[in-house]
Amino acid sequence: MSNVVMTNLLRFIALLFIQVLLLKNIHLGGQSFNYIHIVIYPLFLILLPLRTPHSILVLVGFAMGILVDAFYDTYGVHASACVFTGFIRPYILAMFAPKGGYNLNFSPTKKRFGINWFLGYAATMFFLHLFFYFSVDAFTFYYIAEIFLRTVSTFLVSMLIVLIYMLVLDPEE
Amino acid sequence: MRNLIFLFVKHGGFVTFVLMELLCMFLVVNNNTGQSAIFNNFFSAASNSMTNQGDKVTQFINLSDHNDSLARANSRLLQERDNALFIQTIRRDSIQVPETEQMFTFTAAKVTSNSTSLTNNSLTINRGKKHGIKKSMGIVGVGGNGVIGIVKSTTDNYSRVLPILHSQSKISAAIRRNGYFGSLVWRGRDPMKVNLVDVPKHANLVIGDTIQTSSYSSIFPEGIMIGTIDTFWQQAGTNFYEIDVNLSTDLSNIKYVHVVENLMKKEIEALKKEVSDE
Repeated sequence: MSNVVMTNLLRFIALLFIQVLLLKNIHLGGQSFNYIHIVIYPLFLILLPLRTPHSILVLVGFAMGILVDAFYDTYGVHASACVFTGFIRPYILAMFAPKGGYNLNFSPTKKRFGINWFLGYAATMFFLHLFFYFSVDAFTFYYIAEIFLRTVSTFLVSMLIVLIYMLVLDPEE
Repeated sequence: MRNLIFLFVKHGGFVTFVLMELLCMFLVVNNNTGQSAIFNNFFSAASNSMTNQGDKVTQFINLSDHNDSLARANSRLLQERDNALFIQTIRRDSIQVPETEQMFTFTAAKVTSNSTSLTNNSLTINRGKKHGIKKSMGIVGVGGNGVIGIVKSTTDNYSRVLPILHSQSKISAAIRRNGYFGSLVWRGRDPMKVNLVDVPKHANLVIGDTIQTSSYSSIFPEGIMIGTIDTFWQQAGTNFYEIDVNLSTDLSNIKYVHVVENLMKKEIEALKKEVSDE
């Protein structure tokens, strides 16, 4: 029990610092094509244990988002996206539920459920998170085309990093 | 309480989600210039249109107040017209500034009850003794158009009016074009028509002539329009015309009237009394 909490706490800190100290400063598109960001901190929410209560997901999401915001100096934008992601997680998990249902003692990792399952689940979560994030960032659907462009380009690069992360570290919890 | 806890356990995720999103949106709008500009723009547009709608409602609710104030303004203006003034100047010199004295004053009043379908109709206004209304004052229509009647009795706040649509009503009226005068009576038929009687038969009448209040009246200022001549005929065996007059004011839908007071009425009546006593 305390092992799982410790693992997630460490992952929280690690992902937060990778995001705000390293990935924040990488601009793949350069000055002219400012559409590619690298976002991996939602991975923390994705990997939380299956038995995490719904409201805890939302609250932890808020904590993660507001800390990222503190470094990006965009109070509320990442937080609202994380709150959203935490909220939709049980419904996405229900969509990807295996035949026998989940073993609630597990965490939704590649090692537990296989790479195909994990990629589908994580991709859905990431896409929705990014779409929500860029919508709040623009704050109007007038720029819907740009929101989609940002979402898709960021999604592709971020998923690549997530895949590398899961292949290299391959966490069980 | 237990139900409440149960409800939270069941829907806690959603409740937390909504609360946290509200908090996030609050933070977004307050800490980010771009988003706060969009937010303010949207809400000022929405609130402006709502304020507009609200103003329309308030304006509608305040209409009766506006009416009252307009009626008061009308009364004030009517008092400044020439026919409400008494000219004190005596023409002795070729150059002189006319000196006038207020002769008629006007008080705005609202009609509280009214009838036009009977032979003896009546009308009540919401001004009485407290507001300086006395018996035998005249009542004219909005803006000084049309004669309505004469005050018959007053209480503290209300006055009963004998309208021209009453069999006992008799008001002095004249033809504007040539000044021949007679008495205005009502035969109790059409509320849009009254009769002018006792006009001498040598008067030259034309259909459409304007009938107005005469200068001999001590109740109404001279020249208030009453109506126009519809038809006229000579009663057999008399020397007088009987004239059908189309009223210029429809008494069946009046809402506001002005009460006319003649400030010199006492003087005139005292003089009349002196003459008749001799």
